[in-house]
Amino acid sequence: MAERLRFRSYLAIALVVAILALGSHLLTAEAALLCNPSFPFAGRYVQSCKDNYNFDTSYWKGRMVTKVLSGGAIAKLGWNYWSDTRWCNGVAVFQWTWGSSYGLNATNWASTSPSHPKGTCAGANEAQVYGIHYWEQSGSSTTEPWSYWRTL
Amino acid sequence: MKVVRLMFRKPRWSTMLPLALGVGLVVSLAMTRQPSYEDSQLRQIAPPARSRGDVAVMVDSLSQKWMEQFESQDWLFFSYKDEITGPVGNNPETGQPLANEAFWELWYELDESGNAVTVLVRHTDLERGTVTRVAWHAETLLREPSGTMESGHDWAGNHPIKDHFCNKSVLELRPSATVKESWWIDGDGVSHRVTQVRAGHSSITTADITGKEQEYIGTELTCSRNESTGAVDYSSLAFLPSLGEPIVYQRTYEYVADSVAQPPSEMMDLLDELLRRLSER
Repeated sequence: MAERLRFRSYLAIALVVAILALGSHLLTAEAALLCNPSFPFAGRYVQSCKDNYNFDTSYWKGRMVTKVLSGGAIAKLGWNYWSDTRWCNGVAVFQWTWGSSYGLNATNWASTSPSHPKGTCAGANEAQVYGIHYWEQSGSSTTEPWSYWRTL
Repeated sequence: MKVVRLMFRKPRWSTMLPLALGVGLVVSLAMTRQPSYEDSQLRQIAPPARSRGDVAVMVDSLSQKWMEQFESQDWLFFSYKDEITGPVGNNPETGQPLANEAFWELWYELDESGNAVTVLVRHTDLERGTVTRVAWHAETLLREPSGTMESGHDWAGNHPIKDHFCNKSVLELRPSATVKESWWIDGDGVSHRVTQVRAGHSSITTADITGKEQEYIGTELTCSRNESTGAVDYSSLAFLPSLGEPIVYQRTYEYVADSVAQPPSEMMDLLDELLRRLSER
């Protein structure tokens, strides 16, 4: 009997630890997103976000997220263009560009996450991310630009 | 008997003179040739293996040696050439193609702690000859010819020698990274120390270095330094694909560092323009 009780208490502790770990993981993941203020569109609230960069020794990696916060699914959403530029000492030295990418019908979330070499720069090595998020519903659409600087 | 007689007979000027001239020409060419990053491939000799800690100490001491030469209150001038392989895209400001080969000239005004107060940059596209100039002061930069002014750039803690990536790459090593050392001697008999840092990625990275997406498992940074001055000669950054040879992404070479009384007038004019615009805010 005592053994079963001890087992149950261990199980409860393990469950609490697991919930705390999951919660903290979700909080960390959410905190990494840098979001513009949400705004109303077609009876919904939409928002665009830029994920904080992940840095490897030689790569930097970003993610753009297009969201519908409330009001139900939307016909189309996504990013319709974005680019990354690497600047060395204030001079553009590398640019990566992407074309359009739209989410599927009835979605409320879309993202893209490419990665690039950090390269080397004898001085200030920086990256600028620029993008436009896109939402479409019932023949009308809206966009929001995004621009962002990071030291590599 | 005939062979022996041939070997020991007196040398004739008619046969020895062209031979001597040929040898002289080869030696003279070898002596006058400028050292370049390709030399290391030709003259590398494997040194005795040393620990990563020893290599880090050696790199730090060479960096200190290089820095000690520029402790005056003048401007620190720094220049180098840069090559990026593969397509680099277009300048978002002008729409013009970016440079694969460039010449960089930088002037640093440093405070007593070695932090940058002002940085002036002159970038020459060696393929097209176009020049971009940048002045940075008080976290703001002004770029010409676009006339762009941007705030929020913090370059103050960026010392061109102390914070050079050749120093950081060894000093900020990941535990999983490996370091190889070698050395070469240039035409003037000066010894150069080469460090090669190879770091594996924590996970396979997909990147578009050569214009198409490919998987890479690691990076290799090679730096060569003059052992008598501590100066960086050249560096190269290569990416390691999951299969095949490393792909060289970038090379920097022909480094020059010097103390100068003042940057050229075209750069001082740009700085004056930046200061004028800052004062109007």
